[in-house]
Amino acid sequence: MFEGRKWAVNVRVLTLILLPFVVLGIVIVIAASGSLGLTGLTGQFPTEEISIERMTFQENAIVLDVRNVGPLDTTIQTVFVNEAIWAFDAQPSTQLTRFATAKVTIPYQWVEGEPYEVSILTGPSNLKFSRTADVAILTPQPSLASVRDLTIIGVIVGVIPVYLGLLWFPLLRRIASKWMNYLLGFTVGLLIFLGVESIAEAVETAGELPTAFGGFGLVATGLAGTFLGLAIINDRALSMRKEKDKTLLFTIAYLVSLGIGLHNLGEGLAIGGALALGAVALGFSLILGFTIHNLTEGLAIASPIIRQPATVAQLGTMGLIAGVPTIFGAWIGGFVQLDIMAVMFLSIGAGAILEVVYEIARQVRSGITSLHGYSGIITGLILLYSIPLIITYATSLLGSTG
Amino acid sequence: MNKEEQKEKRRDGVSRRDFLKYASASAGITAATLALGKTVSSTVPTSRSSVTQEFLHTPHPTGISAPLQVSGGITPMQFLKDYYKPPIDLLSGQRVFDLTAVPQSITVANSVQFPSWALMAPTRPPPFNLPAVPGPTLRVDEGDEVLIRFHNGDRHPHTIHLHGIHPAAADGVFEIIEVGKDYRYSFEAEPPGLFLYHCHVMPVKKHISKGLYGAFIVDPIDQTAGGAVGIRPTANHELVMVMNGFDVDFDDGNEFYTVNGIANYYLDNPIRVGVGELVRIYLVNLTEFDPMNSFHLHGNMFRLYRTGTRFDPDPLKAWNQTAGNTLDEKVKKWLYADTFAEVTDTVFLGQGERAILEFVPKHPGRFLFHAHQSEFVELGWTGLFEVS
Repeated sequence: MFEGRKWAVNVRVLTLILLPFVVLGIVIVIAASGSLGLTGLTGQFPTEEISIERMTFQENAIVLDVRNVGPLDTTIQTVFVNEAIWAFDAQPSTQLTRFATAKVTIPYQWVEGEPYEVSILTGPSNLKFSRTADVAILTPQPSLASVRDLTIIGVIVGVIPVYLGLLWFPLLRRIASKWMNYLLGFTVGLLIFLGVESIAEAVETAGELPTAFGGFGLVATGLAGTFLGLAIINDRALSMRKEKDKTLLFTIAYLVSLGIGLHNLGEGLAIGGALALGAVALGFSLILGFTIHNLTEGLAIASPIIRQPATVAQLGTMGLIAGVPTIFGAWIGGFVQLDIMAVMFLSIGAGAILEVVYEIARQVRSGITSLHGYSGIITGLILLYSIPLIITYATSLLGSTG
Repeated sequence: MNKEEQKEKRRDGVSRRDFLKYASASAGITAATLALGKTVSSTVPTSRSSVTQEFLHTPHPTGISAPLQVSGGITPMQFLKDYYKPPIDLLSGQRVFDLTAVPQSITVANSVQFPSWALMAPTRPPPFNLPAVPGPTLRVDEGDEVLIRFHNGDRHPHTIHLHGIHPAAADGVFEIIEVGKDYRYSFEAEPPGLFLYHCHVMPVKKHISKGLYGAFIVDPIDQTAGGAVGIRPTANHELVMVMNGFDVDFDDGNEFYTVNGIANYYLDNPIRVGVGELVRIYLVNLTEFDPMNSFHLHGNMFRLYRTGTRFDPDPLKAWNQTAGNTLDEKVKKWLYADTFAEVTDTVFLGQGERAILEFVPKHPGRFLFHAHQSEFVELGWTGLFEVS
């Protein structure tokens, strides 16, 4: 009898759940039948859509990874390189069913350092889809040598600057406590800047994604999912701890490392991707800018725990968490280079970074709402804002003397 | 369009992050370069594609053969030598042409279809009764009474506007022929020369780029000989070449440039002529959007008659006078025998301009002809003469 009642309840619940869908179905059927007189709705013209997901330069060839992301089957009819019809070979086929991919190889003696635009004319609607490389440069192929190159690049741009920043740790321990608040505020300023910047980049890249991959939804999901997920985990972790104050600061330091690590993963993707796409602005004086940028990340990690007895091993671990993802990012960006991954990692990174800001704000509120804390925030924001200006100026000086 | 604008915006705007991105990337490259003591590219191995080598230096960029049949049924090779010249109707004394405009999907390049507005001559034998772009080449003698019976079988209003001298009612501008309606253009053919016809309904840009056009030849007649005797002697080859473009994605710019309708057709199917033969080309420019198109011939010089209205009354006279001389001497003498003609190997024609070209091949072998705008060449406007 109990079982029977449960069944009855379940059927009722199920009916209530399904009812709106049933009504919706009826409405759609009525609308589609034309009995509402909505004749204009029947004349839809769905068109094909493809995405040129990757464009690489090999010796005497340009290679494209193409995916059908539209509602129709489509055909690669003609390939243009810089507005000229060119021979191509599509594997496995020029016919693309929905979501099918093809590797398009174009025999072409490209000129290193020059821009190239490749277009594909698709059937049946004769639509042109293009992808541009600002600078043609031989794309790294997965091999020991290229993995080593990308690793070295990752270490130089990601890991070393973070550790250089951490070198200030012994010095920072001696400063007065009000300046500690300044430092904490400075960290928050940096994090806000990096978080907003990641979101901006994620949204920009999302705009380039094919409509079927819903770029902005991905940004919202990655951002909110990471932010809320980390907030819940931190809540649980902190409530279980007894010596709250001490571990809290270490937790924040590790969280800062993690957030920055995820941000640097996105940065690494961008670097690897830039190499693969040839989107490289030449000029080695710009090393300076990147080093300064990531030096501040070391500072951000160290500032929550400068009053704590941190060991070299702990600092080393934090540096690894923050820096090493740059290398992974460089690998992924260099060898895979999908815009969708960049959007995903940038959104996750932004969520993680902003969650750290939230953590600091609610748990060390007195620190960052002080005058010193506030000044720190503003200094952090202004510093990151002005770095590119400084680099541009320095570059122009170097250029004029050289 | 929207996507294009977005792309432009992205290309122009350099964000702070882009800046850092490039900075970091170049920083990385430079650092790695310094660290390794050699350039990054030299350390990165490449995979060689098997398809690359064979196509790299061929003159045929598409590397694939054009289809033999346009969907209308007439090939550019058939079009090249086809003239629509009906006999004079005994009752009316007119040359009566039938032209019908219809919507027709045509092949303009390998596997590319274009939804054109095409012209057909329904009373001709197949395949010349099928719709095609360009439309049939109308040919009459100077002084002929001409009647063109036009039927609009398309879903848009159209007209037939001819170049040349004719009454206003035969000008095909103000009498717009609505869908399903007919019209009769009647006039006396004058002057002799090479002309063209096209739809003149606004927007004309659209009606021409969709394919409603063709060539119109008025042959000069020696009236002193009692009429019907052509002044311009029969050449070994009389070829019609209508230069055009196709805007297949409707962005008011051509994706393909062709002669007689299919990109690179005569590259895959060379035009065969013989050493010492007189080749006459009726060249008409019906390219839309681009102000100019051009024709360049390899390995030969041609006599150029703009609009074909002034000409050597006997182009073979000089040729015949040199009997017994070597081919080399013959060609040289013939080439300069007509003071009306410019002697060149390249001619540029504006929209709607046309010219008659005559040449005598001297050397056997394969000789390209193409636009001398490299952009057009690489978008389909290239062909071959196979001289034997």
